[in-house]
Amino acid sequence: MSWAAHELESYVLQKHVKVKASYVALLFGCLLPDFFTKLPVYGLHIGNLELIKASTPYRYHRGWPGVGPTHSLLMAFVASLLALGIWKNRAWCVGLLVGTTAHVLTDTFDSVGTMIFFPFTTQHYSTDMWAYASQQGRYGDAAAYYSSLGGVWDVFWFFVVLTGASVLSRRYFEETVVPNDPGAWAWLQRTFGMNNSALLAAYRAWFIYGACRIVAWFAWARLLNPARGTEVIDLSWGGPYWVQKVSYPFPGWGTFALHTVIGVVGWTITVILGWRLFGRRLWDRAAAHEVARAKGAGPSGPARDVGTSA
Amino acid sequence: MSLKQRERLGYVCAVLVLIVGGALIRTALLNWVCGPVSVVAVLMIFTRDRRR
Repeated sequence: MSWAAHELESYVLQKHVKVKASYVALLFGCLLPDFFTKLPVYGLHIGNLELIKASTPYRYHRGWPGVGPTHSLLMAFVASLLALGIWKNRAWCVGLLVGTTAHVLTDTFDSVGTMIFFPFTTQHYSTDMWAYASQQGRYGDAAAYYSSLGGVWDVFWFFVVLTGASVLSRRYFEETVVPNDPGAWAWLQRTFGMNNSALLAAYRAWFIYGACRIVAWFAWARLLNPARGTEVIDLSWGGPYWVQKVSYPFPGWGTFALHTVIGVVGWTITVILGWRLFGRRLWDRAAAHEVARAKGAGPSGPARDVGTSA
Repeated sequence: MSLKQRERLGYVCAVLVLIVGGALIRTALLNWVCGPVSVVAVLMIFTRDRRR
């Protein structure tokens, strides 16, 4: 699993997705697979009590039976269709589709990987770049992650965002982010009484949080961790060597290829059928709804002055 | 102090809260919801209109 990459990649996607996508939906999509599933991975601790703890965290988090299907392309497709059906908003549909897909693919880099083509196959796809170590608890996982290529992966995403740093500028926020989803930003401003500075901070917040998370946990793992003498940096593929790594056994190239073909075919047929039966109709309905809303006939017209500096 | 200066100070404070809270206090409260919300809260405090 990634510690800061999911937050940071939302800005890269916002910059490079060439169709109109809501940033709020992109971010929500980037976080969605872990949204309701992460707590039992480390468990909830109150004093010495350990509550809501999965007996085998990696099987619960990424496997089946478990909540592994949240880390699949089907989840991305269903979430995007739901956005069309419930909110009648195409920018949310695109944002959720892209964001959730990015999370699913990003998590293939650790040793457990994700069931990309669930339910057509429970094959796990993993590049084994760093060790999945959530079974070690929050601190053990942090120490392993920030001593391995996982930490490098977070830093990589940090610099990718910085190479297109204009995505964090006030101008980009006002001219691209808000117009792509004026309703969400107007709601935030209205509901929480935010001024324009706070609204811009809300947009930048997950970048700041991601960057600080890298610094804070790296500092803890390398400078404050009581076991830092033995839990040393190991940038080898699949490291660090000192942690008990968990992974699903590789079934062999023949079985892997067969599972992949079944997954790709099943997934393609599902998407085509889903689009023809529901997607296209919902998309057209959302387009008509957006036109009506823009003309002021809908329940709430877009607030065009949201986020603009006076 | 101008609004821009207060904004900058707000961001510096938010970064300090996240790094110190994350590395030294290691509070689980600064998770991926409350952590970013703390950034917004700090900015709201620093940039609130004092004339009201």
